[in-house]
Amino acid sequence: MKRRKRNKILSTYILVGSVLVIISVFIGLFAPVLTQQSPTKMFPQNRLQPPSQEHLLGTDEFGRDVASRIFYGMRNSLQVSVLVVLITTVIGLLVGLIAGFYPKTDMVISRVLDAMMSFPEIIIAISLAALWGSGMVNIVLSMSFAYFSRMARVVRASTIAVKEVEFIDSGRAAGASDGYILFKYILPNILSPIIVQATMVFASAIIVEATLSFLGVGIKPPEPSLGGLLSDGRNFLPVAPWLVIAPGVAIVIVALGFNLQGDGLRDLLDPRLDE
Amino acid sequence: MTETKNEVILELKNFKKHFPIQGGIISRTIGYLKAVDGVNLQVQKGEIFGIVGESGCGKTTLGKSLLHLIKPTSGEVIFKGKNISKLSPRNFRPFRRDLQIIFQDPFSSLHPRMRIDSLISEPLKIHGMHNRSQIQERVRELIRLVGLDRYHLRKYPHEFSGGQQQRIVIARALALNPGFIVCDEPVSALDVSIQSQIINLLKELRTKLNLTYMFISHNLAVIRHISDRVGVMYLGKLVEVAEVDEIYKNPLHPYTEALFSAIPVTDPSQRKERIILQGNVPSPVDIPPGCRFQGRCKHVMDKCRDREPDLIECGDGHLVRCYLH
Amino acid sequence: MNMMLDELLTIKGLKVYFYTRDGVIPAVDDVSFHIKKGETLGLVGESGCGKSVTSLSILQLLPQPPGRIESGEILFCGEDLLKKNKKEIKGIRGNRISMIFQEVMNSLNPVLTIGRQLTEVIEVHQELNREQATKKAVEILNIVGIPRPKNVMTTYPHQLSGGMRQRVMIAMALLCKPELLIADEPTTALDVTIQAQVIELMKGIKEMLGTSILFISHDLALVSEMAERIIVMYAGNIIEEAETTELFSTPMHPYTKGLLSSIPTLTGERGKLNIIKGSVPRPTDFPDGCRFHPRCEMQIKCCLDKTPPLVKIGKNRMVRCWLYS
Repeated sequence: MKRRKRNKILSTYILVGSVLVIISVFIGLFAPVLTQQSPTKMFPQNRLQPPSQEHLLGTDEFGRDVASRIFYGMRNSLQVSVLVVLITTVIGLLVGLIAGFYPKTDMVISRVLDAMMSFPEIIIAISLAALWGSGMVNIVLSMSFAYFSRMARVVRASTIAVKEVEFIDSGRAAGASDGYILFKYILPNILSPIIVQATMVFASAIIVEATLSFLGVGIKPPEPSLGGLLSDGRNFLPVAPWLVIAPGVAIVIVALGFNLQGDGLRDLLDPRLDE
Repeated sequence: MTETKNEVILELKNFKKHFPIQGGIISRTIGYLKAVDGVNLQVQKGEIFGIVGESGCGKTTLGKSLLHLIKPTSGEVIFKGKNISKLSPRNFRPFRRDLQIIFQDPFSSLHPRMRIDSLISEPLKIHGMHNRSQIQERVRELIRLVGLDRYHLRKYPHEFSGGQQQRIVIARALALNPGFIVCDEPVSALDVSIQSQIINLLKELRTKLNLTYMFISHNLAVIRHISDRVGVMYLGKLVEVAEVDEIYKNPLHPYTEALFSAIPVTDPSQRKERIILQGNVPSPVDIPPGCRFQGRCKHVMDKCRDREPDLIECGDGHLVRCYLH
Repeated sequence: MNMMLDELLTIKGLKVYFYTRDGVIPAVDDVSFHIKKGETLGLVGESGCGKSVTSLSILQLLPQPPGRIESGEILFCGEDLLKKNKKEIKGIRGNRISMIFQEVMNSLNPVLTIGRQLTEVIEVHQELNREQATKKAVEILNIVGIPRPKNVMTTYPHQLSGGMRQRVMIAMALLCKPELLIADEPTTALDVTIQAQVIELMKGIKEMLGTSILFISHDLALVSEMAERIIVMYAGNIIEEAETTELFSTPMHPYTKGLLSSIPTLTGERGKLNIIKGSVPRPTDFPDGCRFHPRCEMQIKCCLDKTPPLVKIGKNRMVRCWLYS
């Protein structure tokens, strides 16, 4: 009874999450198609217009179309997050595999990872962004730096577990080199936790990017970003609440979507890992 | 068994494997787990040398270190005349064609995501065979040798039973035409009604392909059925070595005696007075000076506590490490 | 089959099915047997035969779901255990019926001392204070042959060896002098010399307390030493039941015969072993008709589609085979 109910809840998580994710990705991918309006062109005479037929979500203080700014903002956020996940996974994999496979290197690598993980990602990302400056490239780099230790930890733990299973020795006995074993034996068998971790990094990255942009150290204006929109809209809350509501809802959709999917995926895959 | 002594294919001289034990905050080495502590033996070409012992005796470590899956600590391993114990991984690699190993749990010995044909052909590809039709032919030959069919080649390990999986493991081990195979408890994880199939298969292959085995097991009955000669290990050393009929008829070392008498016997008329050993199997970390068996031996004397007895010949290839003989 | 007055446990028509993603598994399919007071009954079989599931059902220890007791009665002193509620069955567990398992480390609580775990059992079932309970615990540790029991009371499970832990398990099971002890592969994980110690202990306990024992194992020889009567199970069915000496001297079912002739022994001929062809069927794919027929050398036409009934052949002798019906 309990397991069936649990699976039902989990698949609802994943279902709802996936729907939200698909909506966000769709918007992000097809932003140029969905809106003819430019997200950056200013029309000062149209400033602070409420939602209308021409501007579905109104205009901001510079007369820019809010809807298209949201769509492009979503696109930018997703772009950043995808890059962060890719870089994090690649670096985390390399570091984790080496740490897990070569215990002598592990003594040093583990300490370093431990030290890095004692800081919350946001703090690291903010500090580095403040140091290196804002802009897409910089925040991708600073966020990747903040996240890779978590991925490396997961990879390392899985590597250590798989390393002890006998088929690894069977590969060695057949004459396989270390590299062959790492990439053809160990890697294919630790994909589950990596995928789960990647999903969680993605979900977290969305929010961190929004935070960075909100604080002004994220995506450089006039490029739109959801966090930036939220921050700018604050000043006009009494007059033009749609400037805050729209980006706020957008952030919730994206973040919630990836979080639900990640949680559901993690819980669904975990017992199978034990089996 | 044979009047003329066959050539010695493998010789171990004072072979040791010690595992350092880390302790303290800076992980210093505070002691050693002496898993294999000075093993001397000679295996003749074509024979099945059985190694028997309980947990902690070092038999599995012995098997794995021979193949450099665990790095040996000291001592010599002479295989077909060449000293292979201290070779670097790169220099050892060519020997992997000739030295293979079969493990206890067949399922965890097979890469779960590889198809059977890839599993069997992989050693060939690693060692440079690239001709597809040659590989395919060899794989088919091997799968037939172990008693399975061609249609099994497209499947994955989890689709097979334990006995079939072990056959696949054997096929893979035979791919490179080895001369020597270490069999580490190859039937212990299999159902009782399947064990005899695999034992028969291994014996058949030994004759057909001119193989030599080091057969490691804790199951005395299995060892008796497959081995030509038997070595009993206790706490990292061999305490008795003899031809199989001789050792089972006439065990000399007190440990061997106790070991044999501990086995349940179905026929009540064959049951003898059981020798019950006191105490536990000791740990290979704190090995006392003198004979390793002193703590549990009924016949312990003073000199057993002073100096460890040597492994000496007691007549016709029967070696014992005990002051009683 | 009238229920005789000296029957302690009677299982009638037990059916336990498992509902999994891969289908319905008839793990225990119409199993009936009894255990008399003071008797040791051996339950023998390989993987998937249903012996463990049967034993877990007695004390309602089965995970339900995915398992489900479809039908049957388990009468203990005349009362159906399957009809008892949680509270009632808890009162019986550890008290009138005890159970010991193969993996002792999973059965003992790692964060409680041995003493605490023992006194806990006493306090639950008997009205004694802590001091009296401790005294009883020390007594029982003595009986099971644990040296320095007072010291052992304050140790934790991980500080003891495998054999000692199993003795503690046995001690725990005997604390309330149960009428029935269920031992599920109690020595399978132990070294041979330690197994001998534990078996001798169990024999001694049997004599001293007169406990009935349900001894479950895959090791026929071991069961022959402990049990007066043996039941052989295969793929969820009982296929043969006989007194121990008779089972080994004149096995009737082809599976029993095959098993006895294929197991390596310490005595007897060393040549090629007999085999039972094929492998144990997967619980999701039991064959139609007689579940053993694909592996049977003596199958006849009706074996293919009709399941043979369990028939009585002489006093205390049952076989499920078309050759005898």
